[in-house]
Amino acid sequence: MTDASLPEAGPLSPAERRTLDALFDRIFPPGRDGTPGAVKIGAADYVCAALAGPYVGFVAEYRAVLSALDAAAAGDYAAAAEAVQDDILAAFEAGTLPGLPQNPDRSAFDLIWRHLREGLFCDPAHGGNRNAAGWALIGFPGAQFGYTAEDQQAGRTITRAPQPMAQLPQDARLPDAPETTDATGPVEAPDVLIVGGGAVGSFMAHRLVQAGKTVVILEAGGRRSGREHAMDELSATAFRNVGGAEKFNDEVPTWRLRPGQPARRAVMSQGLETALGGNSIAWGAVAMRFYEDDFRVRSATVAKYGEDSIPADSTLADWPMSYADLEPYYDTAERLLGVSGHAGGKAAFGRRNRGNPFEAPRSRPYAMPALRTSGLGQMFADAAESCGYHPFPLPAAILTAPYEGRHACTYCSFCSRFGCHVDAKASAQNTVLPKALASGRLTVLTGARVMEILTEEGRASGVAFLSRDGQRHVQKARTVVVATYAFENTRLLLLSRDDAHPQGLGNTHGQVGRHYLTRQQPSVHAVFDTPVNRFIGPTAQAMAVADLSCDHFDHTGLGFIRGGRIAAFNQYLPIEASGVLPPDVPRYGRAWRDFFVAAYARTAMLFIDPEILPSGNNRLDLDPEVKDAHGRPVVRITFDVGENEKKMIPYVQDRAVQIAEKMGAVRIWRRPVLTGPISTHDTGGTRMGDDPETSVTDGFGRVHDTPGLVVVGGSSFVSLPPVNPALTILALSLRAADGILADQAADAEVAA
Amino acid sequence: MTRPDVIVAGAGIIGTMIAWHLVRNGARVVLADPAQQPASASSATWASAGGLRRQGRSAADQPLTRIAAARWPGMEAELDADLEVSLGGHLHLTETEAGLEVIRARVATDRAAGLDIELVEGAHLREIAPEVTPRALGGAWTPGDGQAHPGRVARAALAAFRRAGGEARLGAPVRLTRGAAGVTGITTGPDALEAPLTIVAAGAWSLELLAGLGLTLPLRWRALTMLLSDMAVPGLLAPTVTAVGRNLSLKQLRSGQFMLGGNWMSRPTGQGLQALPVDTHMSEQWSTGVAVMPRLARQRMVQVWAGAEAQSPDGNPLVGRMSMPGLYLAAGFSNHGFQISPAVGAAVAEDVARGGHPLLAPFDPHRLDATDPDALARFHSAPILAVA
Repeated sequence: MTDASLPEAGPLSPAERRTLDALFDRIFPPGRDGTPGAVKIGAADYVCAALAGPYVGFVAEYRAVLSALDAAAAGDYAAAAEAVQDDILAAFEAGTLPGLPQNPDRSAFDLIWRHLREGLFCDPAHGGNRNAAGWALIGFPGAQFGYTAEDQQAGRTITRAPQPMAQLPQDARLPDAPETTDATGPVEAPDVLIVGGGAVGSFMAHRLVQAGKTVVILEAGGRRSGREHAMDELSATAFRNVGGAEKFNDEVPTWRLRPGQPARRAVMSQGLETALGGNSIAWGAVAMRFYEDDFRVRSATVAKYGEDSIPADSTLADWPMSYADLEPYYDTAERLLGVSGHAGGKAAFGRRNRGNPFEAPRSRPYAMPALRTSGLGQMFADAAESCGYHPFPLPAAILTAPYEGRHACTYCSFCSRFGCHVDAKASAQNTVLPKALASGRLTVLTGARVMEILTEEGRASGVAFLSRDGQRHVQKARTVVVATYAFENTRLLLLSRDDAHPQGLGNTHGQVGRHYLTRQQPSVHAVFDTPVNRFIGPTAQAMAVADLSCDHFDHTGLGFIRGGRIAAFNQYLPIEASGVLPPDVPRYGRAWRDFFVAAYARTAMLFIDPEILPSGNNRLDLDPEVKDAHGRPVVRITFDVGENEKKMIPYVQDRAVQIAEKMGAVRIWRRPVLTGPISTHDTGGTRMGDDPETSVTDGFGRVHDTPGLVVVGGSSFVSLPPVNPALTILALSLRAADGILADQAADAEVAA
Repeated sequence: MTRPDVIVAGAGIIGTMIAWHLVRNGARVVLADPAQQPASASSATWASAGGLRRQGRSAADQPLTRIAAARWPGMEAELDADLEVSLGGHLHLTETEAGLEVIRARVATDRAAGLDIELVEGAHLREIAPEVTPRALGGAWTPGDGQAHPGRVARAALAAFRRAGGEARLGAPVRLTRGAAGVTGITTGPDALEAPLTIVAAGAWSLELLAGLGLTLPLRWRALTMLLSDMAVPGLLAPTVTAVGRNLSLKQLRSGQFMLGGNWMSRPTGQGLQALPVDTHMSEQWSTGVAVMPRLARQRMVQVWAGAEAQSPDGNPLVGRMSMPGLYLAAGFSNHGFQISPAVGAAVAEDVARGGHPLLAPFDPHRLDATDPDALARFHSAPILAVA
């Protein structure tokens, strides 16, 4: 690398650049076999270009770090001996190097390490990973249209040359995505106004317009096709911060473990989509129903194990509906999404590659067969079966056959967090939105930031919203639906006040924000001595076991209730994967490089979705200090795992380790029990229930203390079973839509 | 833009090619389409199989075919875009002795028209297409033919049109406007645009546009069904394959997927130009593909879609000035418009400037005016379930 080839616009001086290059090649050095290191792969070029563009805000931090490195090396880090450089690097990583910039939320090394990995493994279109050299090094084939079943056999080495996304064919022929317009002001008062253009709002709108209602959706973010970020790991993760999450970035919640502690900005591991389509674009698309006893989790537990079995700090409760009440809505939601899967139930016990034997009764089978079983999935299934469990393929809102013009899955490498390049993964945009818009009764206004729910004589009458130009508008409607993420559902109620509701709408009994639940991700990682190629196939193409979920096993004498699901998920993209390390591998140097290069294609993860019990400790409220861009308090999360999780999660982890051993793993490590708020399975906060003193809404999302106001979403959850929440959220939404139809019909009768 | 010289209604492959060639010749052009982008659902371009076939064409469009064929190898350079052009040839095969006569006749006719076409049999045929049915006795082979991505071509032509100074009005409803002296232009959304000449190049949608003027055309629309298989190893099938007596076109795409076309109709939904695939047609179409290439039985169907195409009673398009002043038509290219689209674009651009283009003479839009009304009625009402 000569100075002449550096990007001219880079903000770093030649001396700083020299230090950066030296640092990068110590963090990710060239291989002993002559393979390139970070600088030759283009990681430093990438970072310098990014510092002149999207990362301009980090220039000062970089300067401070480079200066600290130089200072520790008698003024010139690049000129120091390698051993000296490595000592300084170790201090940098540990945060003990004098002069490092301080940031309470993360270290400077965290930031630079992430950027370095972006430069190593991003699509070459972003300026790093020159000639796909980073991908070639680890055997990642890049942006491939898809893979065949043969490609997915275990032990197979994928030899395709890495392909940048610019070379992708557009062989699927997809219809246009629906177009929406930005709000400039209110429109004629509709029958139903929905706050939030995500999956919940879109599915409700579809059901309501089908019944002849007029609907307006106000969406704070921009319009999207639903195919955003296809096959682009960098833009789907880092650059998302200026894209899909434009609203959320300003209002990331703070988090503390217990009341009385200071709260810090939470690390939202999955990001949160706040634009049209919401998380229905980025989701992993596991579309699984809850189990029958999930809806009567408290009474069933008490009946079997006694009142004492409920942990003291838990606010565990039954749901205000039964599985049978929700089944028709599960069915409708599945058909709208196009869910692939194998039906299960008791008949599936002891049968290979069929459905989940614990599955609740279904009124009809899935719309199409499950995603195929990968080599990795088969390894998991064989091992799980030999442990006495009953593996099954997870049902997914990912097509395996043509469905309503959409294309079946190609088993590419980019699914969770990515728009689907062939519309195989369901999103609001490729399912309900076009149909609902075609009715002519739905208006979607993007760029409409709802600030407050308005009431007249105690009844919800509309909302106040800001258009992009900052103008405040009032949109009226007969019924107002709040259908945003759990955080904003809660916050919007707390920030909407009138004389009758001085503590916020729905909050007469102080219930808004209580019973918050968030999924912990205490996975078990496993490295094998042959390739398992987890980078092939959608995330949800996974075999799972539910034998350790719910009350599917006898808890007598175990000291905890409920359990977790174990599944071998796919998707392993190199920017993120290069940050997944066993505890004894450092984040820099030859040890890191050698581990990752060798282990990339051979690493699997047994993902555990533990049931989290609602607890008196855990809640959402308004942060007293941190404000968003509009000067409004962000959500403050108080969350810790309880005694039940502390006993139950290691129990499930032990069994996941057993499965991994039977699969032949040569190296196994586990994540901690507490992993923090996740930003995809956050639930609770506007709990459903029959008793207004212990819940915010009824089972249809009607807010107990505010007529005309409906709140639906993950925030409605009473408990968090070991199942992905999305399908249940959609079923609750469709049921809530029926509640609105019934209420408006009753109102019309009264008026007549 | 100051008042345009020409308005083109329709941003499919024909409309974008005409508009691009017009601006290249120095005309001021507005291109309008209600869709947001070219080749949108459920248009003919969206559902075009993208075949670049010279053989077996009508005598009327052979000259245009040859002109276009000379340009396709350089089209990616001309449009400065990846068009997924692949020139693996076209093989029209037969499995019967009687079919061999049909093949020989095609080879003779096309060769007389100056095409480099040959009869291939036995080992030569296997070498060209190792995966086709062992029952294949022979085929008509044109090595320079191939395929491209119609959506990419139309979008690239639009981009080239814009680079050359053309103005596109996309995403707003379009209607023709009529004055005392004929067509005066269009409305696009709330805007009215006037031009001395309006070219309707809107495929099946042309029927509705002209109906707004009280004109009926000897055209009908049908939605043709396309199927796509899951991925196979790329490089299994280089040519596009059709077969005597079989309703099928079969090709392998860059991704390794197989695309199956033909003349299998979908059922109109009654909403605009939308149509839904018919199950029995889909299974017959797929099994026809398996008959021609047994390996397809190992694949799965992954996508089905249909686009509306305008068809004329004699199978040839209607291209030229209408008797109504200010109106020019270029529609009715069903099943054979994509390959000739660059030549049609060039010819129409010249015809608009100078008139009387000899290659367009066979496509006079009024040539079918004298058609027997009963025959026309039968043409319009022919059932979609009967396989054409």
